[in-house]
Amino acid sequence: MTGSNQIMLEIRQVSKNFGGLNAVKEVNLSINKGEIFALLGGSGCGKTTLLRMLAGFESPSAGAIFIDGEDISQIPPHKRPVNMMFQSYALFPHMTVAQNVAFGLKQEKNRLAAPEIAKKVSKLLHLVRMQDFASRKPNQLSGGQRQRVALARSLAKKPKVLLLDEPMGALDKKLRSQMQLEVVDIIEAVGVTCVMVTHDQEEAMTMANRISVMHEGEIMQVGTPSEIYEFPNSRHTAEFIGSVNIFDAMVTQLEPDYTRLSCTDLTSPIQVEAGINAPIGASLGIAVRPEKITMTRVKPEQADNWLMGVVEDIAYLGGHSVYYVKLESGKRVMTIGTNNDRHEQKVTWQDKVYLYWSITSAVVLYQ
Amino acid sequence: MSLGRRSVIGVPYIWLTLFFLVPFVIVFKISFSEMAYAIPPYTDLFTWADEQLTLSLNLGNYGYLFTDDLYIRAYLSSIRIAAIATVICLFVAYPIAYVIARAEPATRNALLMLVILPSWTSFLIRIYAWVGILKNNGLINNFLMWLGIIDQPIAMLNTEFAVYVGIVYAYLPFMVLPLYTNLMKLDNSLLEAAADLGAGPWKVFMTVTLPLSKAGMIAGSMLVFIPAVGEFIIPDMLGGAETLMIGKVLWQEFFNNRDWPVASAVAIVMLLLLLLPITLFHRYQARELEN
Repeated sequence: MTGSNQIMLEIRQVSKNFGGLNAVKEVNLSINKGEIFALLGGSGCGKTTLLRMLAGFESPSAGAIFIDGEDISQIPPHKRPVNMMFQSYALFPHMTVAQNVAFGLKQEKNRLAAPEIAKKVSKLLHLVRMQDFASRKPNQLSGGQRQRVALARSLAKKPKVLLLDEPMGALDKKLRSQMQLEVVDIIEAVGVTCVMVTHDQEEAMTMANRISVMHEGEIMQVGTPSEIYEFPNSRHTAEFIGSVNIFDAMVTQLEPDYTRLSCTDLTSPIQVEAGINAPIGASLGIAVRPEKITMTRVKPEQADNWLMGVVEDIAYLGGHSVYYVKLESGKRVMTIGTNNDRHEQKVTWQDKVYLYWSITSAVVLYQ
Repeated sequence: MSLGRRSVIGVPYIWLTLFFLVPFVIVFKISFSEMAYAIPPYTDLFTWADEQLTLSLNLGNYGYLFTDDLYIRAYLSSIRIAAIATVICLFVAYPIAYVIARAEPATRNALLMLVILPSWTSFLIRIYAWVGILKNNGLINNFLMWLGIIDQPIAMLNTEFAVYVGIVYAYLPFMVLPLYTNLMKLDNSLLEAAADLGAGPWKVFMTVTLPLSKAGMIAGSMLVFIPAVGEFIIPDMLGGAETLMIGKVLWQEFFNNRDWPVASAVAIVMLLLLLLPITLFHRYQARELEN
């Protein structure tokens, strides 16, 4: 997907202030040609403002945006080689599906003859499998159908960058997962570079090649979905993407191939692979994903990376269950157990259990 | 239906029956009677003599409207003046409504008040004020002569121009308010989508804003056109003798000629003429609701 590493979109030191409020703070991003890139964050993190700056609806207070090497920061929206699929789709209610899709083509300076436009529109409607609805009005369509039309409309002008604002925001959960894959298929078939904004980490991980996690106007981390999940670089990212247990720990032993830390919540020390970039005595966060923690009834043999507690809560989720284990210190640790082992005696409420994880499972969080 | 519900719906029905339907039936009845030198100055439709109830319908009043071309000219002239004034009103009101709808919420209320506030003064006084502004030694002429732009006052009062000024001035809020309500509902993301797809500001306005405000334009036009057709005070005070409007003719029939039956016939025909645009408007509204 990121076949050539040619940069299509570059955001350089872009900031945006709204009357003293810094919505976006000195953001730098490079997005490759053909890539699907997600801006992920909670509400008010600046992701939508950044997207609107790419579309031209807001202009950056500082910094510049380059598309295909050209500085577009001062170009008005209607002259940018960028098209957007709006959160609520913003289909023109007074036009048919075909007219909606044709709208962009009719605005071009060297606009095509009517039959050419009709041909293109029909091709686009085939692409999104809406060819049978060409003469319908938007209010006669279902949510998923509207989204396909909106997608076709935003692809009609072959934009250099396609912007998706919360693409699945208006759909119900079941339709969402189906449309996520479908939209990705279409985008990849067209080969357009795509920047999407979402608050849904699952959506970002399903659809995007790379994700940038935003928080309070800043970019916390950029990486592939698995990089962001496996190696979060901050507490915020670790907590935002999936579930995580974070232990506050202090460095006690530094070795070239491992580091040992002590945590007041645990009886055993924590050991992490490889040396870390902090002196002895430094306070750090240690993140362990619930599914990397194993639960047993017998005390594990390893000296480090284990704890003991009482099962306080069990959330049964069908294929697996989430266990909340309370430590002596009062801290709650989350772990996941699959529900496929029928032979073993099931762990239940108030059972005393041991949890342990391997040396490679923990991630050090500096901030 | 519960008693509570029925009474809530019933009140407006009773109101309309008492103050619209009954007077209308009376006017309708008078239009079929004959003029008489009596109080009231018309004959009864029903007479009772020799144990016979006689209903005498006089269709002559309606026929009379077509024998004298004054009435036809007055109808056509009224419709023409009202239509032109409505179009001018639309052109003046649209930018006003647009600016108010796009303004910051705090400014928006102040601007709306500026539109509504004049109607808190008496209609008659406001039209009378225009006499002072438009007359030969009025505000505008005096000012232009003082500037030296003109030597002779421009005759504005007692012309059709003054009638247009009066109607546009008086009925502007009725055009602005429905347009404003309509433009307020316009989803900003539609304008952004149009711009995003390559339409410049003017093109966005022509292809998105304007078509989507059609309902507001029609509603406002109806609110201006219908009362403007029957307008009496404005043509009487500003239009002078030259301006022929059906409202004035109606007044003359009632109060100068004291011919209530013909006056009633004039009113009924006017109502029938207005029924056409009102029906079209309702059809359009029903279709819009369906979509």
